[in-house]
Amino acid sequence: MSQSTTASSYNYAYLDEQTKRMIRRALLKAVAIPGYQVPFAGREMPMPYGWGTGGVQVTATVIGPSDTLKVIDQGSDDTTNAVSIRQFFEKTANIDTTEKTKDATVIQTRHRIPEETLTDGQILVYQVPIPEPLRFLEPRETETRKMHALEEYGLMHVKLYEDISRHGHIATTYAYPVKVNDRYVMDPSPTPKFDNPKMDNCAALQLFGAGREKRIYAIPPYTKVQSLDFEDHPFEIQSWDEDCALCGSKDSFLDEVILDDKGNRMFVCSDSDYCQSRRDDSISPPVEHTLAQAAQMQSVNSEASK
Amino acid sequence: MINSQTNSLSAQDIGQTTLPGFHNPVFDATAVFRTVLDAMSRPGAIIKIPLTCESPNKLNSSAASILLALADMDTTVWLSPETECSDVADYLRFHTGCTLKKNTSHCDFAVINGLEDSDLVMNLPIGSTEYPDRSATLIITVDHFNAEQKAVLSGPGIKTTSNLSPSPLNPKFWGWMKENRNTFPCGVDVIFASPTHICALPRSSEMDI
Repeated sequence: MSQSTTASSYNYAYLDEQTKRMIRRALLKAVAIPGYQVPFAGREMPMPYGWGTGGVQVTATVIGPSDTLKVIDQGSDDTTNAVSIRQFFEKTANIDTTEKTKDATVIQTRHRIPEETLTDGQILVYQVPIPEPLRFLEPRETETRKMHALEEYGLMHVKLYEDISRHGHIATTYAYPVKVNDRYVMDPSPTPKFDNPKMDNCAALQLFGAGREKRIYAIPPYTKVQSLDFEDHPFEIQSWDEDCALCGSKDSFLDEVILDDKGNRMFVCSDSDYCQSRRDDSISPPVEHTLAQAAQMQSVNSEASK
Repeated sequence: MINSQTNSLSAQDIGQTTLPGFHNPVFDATAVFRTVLDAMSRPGAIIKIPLTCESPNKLNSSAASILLALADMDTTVWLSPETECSDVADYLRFHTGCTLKKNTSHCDFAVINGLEDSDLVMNLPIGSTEYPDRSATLIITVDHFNAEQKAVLSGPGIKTTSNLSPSPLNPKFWGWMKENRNTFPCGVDVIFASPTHICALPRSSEMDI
């Protein structure tokens, strides 16, 4: 529409109106049947499959001129995927964007849920590669449909049990299956299992879009989302011995950053906005200090190796 | 139907109306959809439709705007005896291009007045256990949401509980809605539409009357 100056030959938010209506109808069904995968006629988007075509279609369908969009990739606002999707919507939807979780009305995410608690009225859009949690256990769509219809999820428990018998614990660390509203087993997309508890009773609306597989599913706000486990092997999230080297956070999801080829490494928050805002509030030691320490360690190491 | 002489659709096929549709088709449709999405994800919440439509007499503004936002040539609409008239049919065909159905068993959207008999919507598609999404959405037009009889809702989208009190409503609908809930994950999703506000009852909500 005329609102967009830079890409005026496209409809607002890239998708044509008929496509939006089709996706909107699918989204409403998805919300009404929490955790159930609704098939939809996924369109080709100007990016390759695997780069978030499903999430982009859902976002394009949902956003309007009064929204503020945040896009994260593995928790970070400034990785390639996040930057390009953010620019895509700035260009096609003439929309305000932000890196602040609390300022966003729509957040598109690849593989993380922000550390900051989401609030009423926010919408979290996930990019999903493989929506079917049973797919690696049963390749036939006709069969997995039947399994969902009959609530036949024994196979998934066998898979988790095999983990325990082989490793002594449930070794699944991401895309950890959840049961939504005591009915559908759902793939939370490849988020680390660290984020699973945030899905439970979340105040925000969670929408999932899988572009290549052409499926949409959703979790309404305040919905029970339970990670599958066993009584004697309860669900546990990851934890680290280290704190974030930049902001000192003890309870966020940490990425390991390799500093050199001498075995030096540091752990930093995967959620860049969370880490930055903590540093701005200076609850923790300043960055220079920690980086200086790392450099010092490095020089000690190189001395030792001489 | 294509006229073989002129090779074009006749006015009778596409419908004729003097009533305008959305003032701004793109942004109005988005705004209405967001309201419906909000309502569907917060069952029982009474949410204002952010615009008004000049709609035919038998279809209130909210119900009309929902259909303008969501119906198109890929969808079929059923109109109840009370809402069905040439004004409404022409309005919907002209603005959305939807196909109007004479019976309920194959429609995507159904519109009924709250005072009508719920038996009319007994045969709406509810989907199958493998594809529960292949079901209808029922729009029930009402006047307001201040009825004395309330249903207490709980379930997905509801923090503790919420109330559903559309009025006027044929008492038979309560029984129908209870039955509808029992078929989960199959079932019909309901949107109550007063002239200015909407309130949704998706199939996932537990209901206590």
